[in-house]
Parts: sequence; structure tokens; C-alpha cells
Amino acid sequence: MRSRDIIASFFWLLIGAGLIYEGYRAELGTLQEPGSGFVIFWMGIVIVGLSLLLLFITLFKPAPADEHPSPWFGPGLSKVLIISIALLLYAYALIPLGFLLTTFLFMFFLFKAINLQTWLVSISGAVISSLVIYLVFSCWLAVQLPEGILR
Amino acid sequence: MDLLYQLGNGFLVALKPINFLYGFLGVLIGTLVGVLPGLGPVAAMSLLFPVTFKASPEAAIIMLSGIYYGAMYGGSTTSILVNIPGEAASVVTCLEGYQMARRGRAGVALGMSAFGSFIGGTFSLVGLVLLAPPLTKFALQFGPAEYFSLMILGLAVLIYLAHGSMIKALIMAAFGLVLGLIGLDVISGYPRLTFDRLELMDGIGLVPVIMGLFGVSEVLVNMEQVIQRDIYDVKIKGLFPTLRDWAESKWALVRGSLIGFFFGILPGGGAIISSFLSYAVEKRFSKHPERFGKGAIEGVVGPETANNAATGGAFIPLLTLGIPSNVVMAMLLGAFMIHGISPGPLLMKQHPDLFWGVIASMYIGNFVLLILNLPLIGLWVQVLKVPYKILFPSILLFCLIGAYSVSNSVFDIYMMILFGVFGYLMKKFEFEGAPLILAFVLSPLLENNLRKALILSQGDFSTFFTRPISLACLLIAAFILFSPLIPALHKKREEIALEEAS
Repeated sequence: MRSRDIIASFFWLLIGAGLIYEGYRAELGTLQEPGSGFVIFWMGIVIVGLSLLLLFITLFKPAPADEHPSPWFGPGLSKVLIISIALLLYAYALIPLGFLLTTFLFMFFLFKAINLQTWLVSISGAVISSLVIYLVFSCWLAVQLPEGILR
Repeated sequence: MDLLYQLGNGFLVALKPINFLYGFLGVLIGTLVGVLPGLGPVAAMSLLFPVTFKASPEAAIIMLSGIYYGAMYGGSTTSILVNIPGEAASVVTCLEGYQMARRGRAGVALGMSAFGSFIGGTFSLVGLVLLAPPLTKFALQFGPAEYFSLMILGLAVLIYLAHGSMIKALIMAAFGLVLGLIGLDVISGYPRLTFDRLELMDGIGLVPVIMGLFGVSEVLVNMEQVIQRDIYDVKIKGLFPTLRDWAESKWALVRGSLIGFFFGILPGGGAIISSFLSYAVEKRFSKHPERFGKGAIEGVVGPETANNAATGGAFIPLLTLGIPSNVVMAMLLGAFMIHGISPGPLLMKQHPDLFWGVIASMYIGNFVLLILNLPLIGLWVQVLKVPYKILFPSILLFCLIGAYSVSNSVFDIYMMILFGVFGYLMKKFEFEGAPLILAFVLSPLLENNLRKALILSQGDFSTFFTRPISLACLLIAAFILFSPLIPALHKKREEIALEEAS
């Protein structure tokens, strides 16, 4: 955990410093009349203080002798990356392609590429899930879903 | 008499066909997510958030509440049959429940935990009905300083109960407070942390944050690991406990109800801690503690009763003070706000139909769960066999559509993905999401009360220490936050975290 905690400390140190700057920029005000940046500024200070404390404890606390650090990532890391990219592509394509087509492609991809289902299962699974969600949200709940090229 | 009249009115509201339907769907879905490992009540509530937008506030809150206590019922099924808790409050049920299943007593364990859940849930609702009105009157004395200090206390308890490092939990809470402040400052109109993005002027939505942190990140973590489920494949019989089972469980039912209810009220407490405490108490009070770990029925009944009793208790701070005591209640606070209602001391007066309707719906829901769950246990076992690779695409799809439909904005989907990846990395670095979410929800309220208190006291910070309720809350919060410096208390906290993690 040691290296992970050191990285995390630096990450939060940066975030805290950014918040101090943003809080200061948004005006601190006075104690009689706290400004827009008052809480953000002080939370930035708190985060910086805590990350320094975390860094200090990590560096100076001796690691237990029997500590076997768990691996950073599990065997399915590639799936995590692929799913994250697929989610981003879904968001990107939703308006131009429309809900039905984007959802079909997204679900088909998950069934076929991630789950390694047969063509029939993948296509029918994608069609059914897209249609059911469309009917529930668009027809029943009257959510305006993008129509895209199917308009 | 007035109380009974109000409660009667509440039943009329809860029994309206549409409200009853939403309540029924809520408990059914709640049980389902309780049964399915890897999908907890918070994720399920956030997934179904958009479904409640079209409903009346009563129906929406009734449904979301139903998901919460339904999940408490369902969680025991996986603990007993698969040795995997469906949700965190059922972790301790695994210890004795799975052992009972291995000895051919799965039916009794499931049946008794259903009855225990019913009794605990009903007890807590009676407590809620009796305690809420006087507490509401008491809460009317609260000023900005008291509200601020009480919220600090709630956050402190949640931070204390977080797994692992308290420093990390504090960082999460501080970051959550900042996230909740993004957008236009309601007092000065100054845009804060918006980076000139128009979409951020109204702040970040609760739904994309929760769906990302609890829905998407959970899927990513589960996809990375190979999940093994070892279902105890045995014909389940004898769901109805015998007189001997009742005799063995009677004190566990009483103790579980009391522990669950009172720990449910405490900010940051709730179902998880009360179930662990109940197990420890049962073991301590048992005449045969050697049976524990080998399938002692009290070890199933106590925690299951306690975690359901805690659900009723947890509603008290939300409905009377407007302060959520845990993440699920924070979600409900979000639902109230989306429907333009502020829970708090005035809720009972301004929206009596909603207040009493929700309480009455929980009575009905508990009863529905009992008659629904006993015959449906076979079905839930089948649900358990659905492989995760079939489930996860649907979870992701619900997250996507849920995030989009709140404000018909693709930007919210990007936010959800961002928080999903952030949540995934948080898990890798052992940071916990619960303090962040609670702080995020409380943040605008907390800042508002802090600024009001300072303006009223003309910048005098002692206002927080000269008012007795505020002083008491801050002292308790300080004690909780600094308690790890006391070696004995530090050890106790690590024990709790270890038990929960295991």
C-alpha cells in the first residue's frame, strides 16, 4: 500500500492546492460575512494538511514485515479499459446516432466482445434490451430520448 | 388520538392504488438487489431515481424507501445460501446462516430471518411513529449553529466507521463538501469551480455522481475480478420455524429490535453497525457460545432483526431534522429535493400526507415482504444463478439512461463516467465513497448554515460553542475524530473495520 499512499498523497496535495487558489479567487469575505470562496478555501487547506499527514505517516511508519502488497490490478484490467472506452463512445455517439441505434450497438458490443456470446444471443439481447428501455423511458416515463439519424 | 388519526390518514395515502403499486415495486426490486451480490440498495435507488420523476412525491419516496428495506430482507438470502452477502448489512449473517444451510437448516434460517426482519421492521416503525412528533417539536428550537454542528457530527461518525484509514475518509468528506459547492453561489451569484462550463452552473447532479461511484465503478471492479459463486444447492424445506426455533430466538428478536432501532437513529450508524453489534451481543448473552460459528440460530435472527429495525430508526433524523444519517438517507434527501420538498421539522405540518403516507407504506411494505418472500425464496435462488456477465450490461445501460434522463444532457453521462473511473481508482487506493456522498449532499446545507450562523453572530465563532446543543454535537464529533489517538479506542475501531471488511 506504501507506494499507492504516496501517489494518493501527492494527488490530493495538488487538488488541495488548486482548491486553495480557487477559493481565494472566489473571494474569501470576512468572518462577519463569509464570501463565496470561504468554505472552498478552508477545505483546500484541510485537504493539503491531511495529504501531508498521510504522506508523513506513510514515509515514517515502518511497513509490517509480512506485508505482501496486493497487485495493482486484477486479471480483467483490459475489460475495464474496454468498457470505459465503450461508455465514452456511447456518450459521444448518443446525439448524432440516436438512442436506439447507439444503445443497440453498445449492448451488442458488450454481449459479443466482453461476454463472448453467440451472434444470435448478442443480437437478440441487444435488440430486446434497447427496445425495453426505450419503451419504459420514452413511452411510459416520457423522457425525450435523442432520435438521431432515425428521425 | 391525533396520532392515530394522522396514521390512519397515512394508510389511506399508502393504500391508494398508484402508491401501493410503487411501494410494491420498490420492495420487490429492493429484495432483488438485496439478493444479487454486487448491487446494493444505493446503486439500485440511483438506477431507479429517474423512474420516480414522473410520480407524485409520495409515490417516489414510498418506492425508494421500499428499495431500501426490501434490500435488507433480500440480503440475507445470499448470505445464507451462497456465503456472499447481498449487501453490507448482511455480512454478519453469513457466519451462522451459511453454517445452518450446510447442516440442512437453510429453510429455517431463511424463514426465521424473514420473520425477524418483519418483527424488527415493525418495531422500528412503532418507534418512529412515537418518537418523530416530539423530536419534530424539539428540532424547531434548532438554529443555524445547531444544524451546522449536527451535520458535522453526522459526518464525523461516518468517517469514524469508514474502513481503513480515517485520514483518507476525512479527505473524501472534505472533497465531497467541495463538490457539493460547485456552481453558482446562491448568496452572491458567483460561479464557483465551473471552469466556464455552462453545464456546471447548476452544480453537479446527485444522480451522475452516485451512479458513477456506486454503479459504474462497481461494474468495473467486478469485471476485473473473476467472481466465484458457490451456491449451496439443496432443496429448501421447512421455512416455517418450529416452536423450539421461536423459543431459541425470542430474546435475539427483542435485543435485535432495540439495538437496530437506536443505532439506526444515530448519525452515521445504521444497519451495518447494528447488525455487527447484535451478533456480538447474542454471542455474549448465549448460554452456549460454543455453538456460534457452527450454525447458531440466534446469530442469524439477531443481526437480521437489527438491520431491518435500523431502517426505521434511520428515517428519524431525515424526517424530523432534514439531516440524512447515512448514504441511503442522503439519496432520499435528494429525492425529496427533486420534488421540491425540504424534509425537516416542518415536513409533518406542511406535507402530512407525505410524512404519514411514507410511514404507513413501510408497515404495509413489511407485511408484503413477509408474504412475498417466503413463497418466493425458490425464485430468488434461481436469480442468484444468473451470471454476472448477463447482469452487468443491463446495470451499465440503466446507469447511462438514468444519468441522461435527469436533465436530458450528455454532459451528465460524461460526469457519470468520470465518477465511475474515479470510484474505481478510489477502491484501488482504498478510499471510501460513503463519506464523499454524504458530504456532497450535506454541503450546500452545511455551508448555508455556517454562513448564516456567522452573519447572525457578527463573525463570532464562539456561537458554535455557547449554544448547548451545538456544543454537545461538536464535542462528541471531536471525541469521535480524535478517538483513534487513544490506543484502546483505536483498536476497537480497527476491529469494527476488519469485521466489516471480512
